[in-house]
Amino acid sequence: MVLLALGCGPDHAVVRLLDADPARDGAEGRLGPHGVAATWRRYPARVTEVVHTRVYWPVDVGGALAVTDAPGMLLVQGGRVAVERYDWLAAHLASRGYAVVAPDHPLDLAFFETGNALDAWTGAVDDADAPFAGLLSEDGPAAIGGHSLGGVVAAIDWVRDERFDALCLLASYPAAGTDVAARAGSPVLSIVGAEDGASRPATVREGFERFAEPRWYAEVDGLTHYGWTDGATEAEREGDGVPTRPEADARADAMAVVDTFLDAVLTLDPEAAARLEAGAFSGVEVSR
Amino acid sequence: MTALWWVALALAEPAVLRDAAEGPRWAAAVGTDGVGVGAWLPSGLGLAADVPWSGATVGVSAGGAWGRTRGRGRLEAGVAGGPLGLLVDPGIGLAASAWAGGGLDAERVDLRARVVVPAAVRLGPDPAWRLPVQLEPHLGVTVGAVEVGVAAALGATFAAVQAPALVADARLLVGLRR
Repeated sequence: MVLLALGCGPDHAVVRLLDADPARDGAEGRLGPHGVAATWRRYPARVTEVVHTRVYWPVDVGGALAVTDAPGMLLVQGGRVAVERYDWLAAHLASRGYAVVAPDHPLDLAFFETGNALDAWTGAVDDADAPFAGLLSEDGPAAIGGHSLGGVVAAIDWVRDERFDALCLLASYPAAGTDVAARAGSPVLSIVGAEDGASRPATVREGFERFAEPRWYAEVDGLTHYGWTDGATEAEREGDGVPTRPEADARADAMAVVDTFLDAVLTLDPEAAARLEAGAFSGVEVSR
Repeated sequence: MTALWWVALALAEPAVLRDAAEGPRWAAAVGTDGVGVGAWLPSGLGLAADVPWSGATVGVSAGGAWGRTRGRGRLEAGVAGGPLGLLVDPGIGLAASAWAGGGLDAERVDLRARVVVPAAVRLGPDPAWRLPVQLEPHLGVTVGAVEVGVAAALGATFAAVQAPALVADARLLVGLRR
């Protein structure tokens, strides 16, 4: 009975993070019109293990799928940052029509089980019983990204797995041993806060220089390292930089670049591609 | 040389039996990865069950453990194997564990370390395998007929199409010696 309870028990309930609102235009940096639902799922890994995975997807007013298929984003958590602390970011993307898959790792340290992310992605794509079933596909457009330590792991997985068309690093850079040249030609966005006290912009820029074109580097005015996460602790703030403007403003500007990048490389939106090429963003310095 | 044969109702690996290789009548373990209980028949046959907190697997395995004591030194080794039920993505697999190690075995305290390879494969149209290699230190204290032990596991899991993943578990064992 215990086995049955543990092995076949219900998944976590579906929660509504955001209600649908057709008045939201979904312009880069702003929420899209879709509502956002999220839930935890369990996917197999290494034959006998399980990866707890939080999945976010766009829904309509009634809670049904708002789109029939969605570009995907595999998001890897930063070190010692719980997955839920990225709810705001995942909800932002999902409101614009993206599906986001965010795997959990032991002790919230992604380098302990770097394969969890790829197993979680496979599980989510194949999950026929999930409320988001069919939204993601094996050969659909997808990016992988991560914050801080999660970006280090995301870069490793991006090199190893060509299911991901692009890499999005948030306050992060690749480890020295990651052979980023192996994915030359796959678009990369590296974005960091100018006030990041943990992943210093100079270090992030140095790591960015290892990537081949097409690549974009973005530095967000006033944004700190933990500005990418909700619920930063006092200790995290003490080791970080000092924000020089309201966090909501810095996040909106940062997400304008992230949205434009994803729209350009995943949905092949020509207007987004043109904006990205122009590199003119409010509150963010973008360079190649 | 002593020998202990047992049949284990276990998951991927009957960890409780490794900790209790001295041959208690029964043993129970609670760990970060799950819980386990084991009991041995007078003939030396034994039964054990392990349940991981994840509820990912269920299985049956059989095997044996051997030990040699010389003075306060002790060497031991064991193997186990059997079918494995995979619950999250339903399927059938096989589990095979092997371990070997040694340490000090004093009157009331034993301190041992072993290398463990609790491998598993998934059978069928979507095959997969895992091959963890882990080091397990184990400290046991015996008071009367009761042994209380703590064990840890640290290592890496190698798996098909995967980067190595960390193994880090700890468990508390309570056993009743013969």
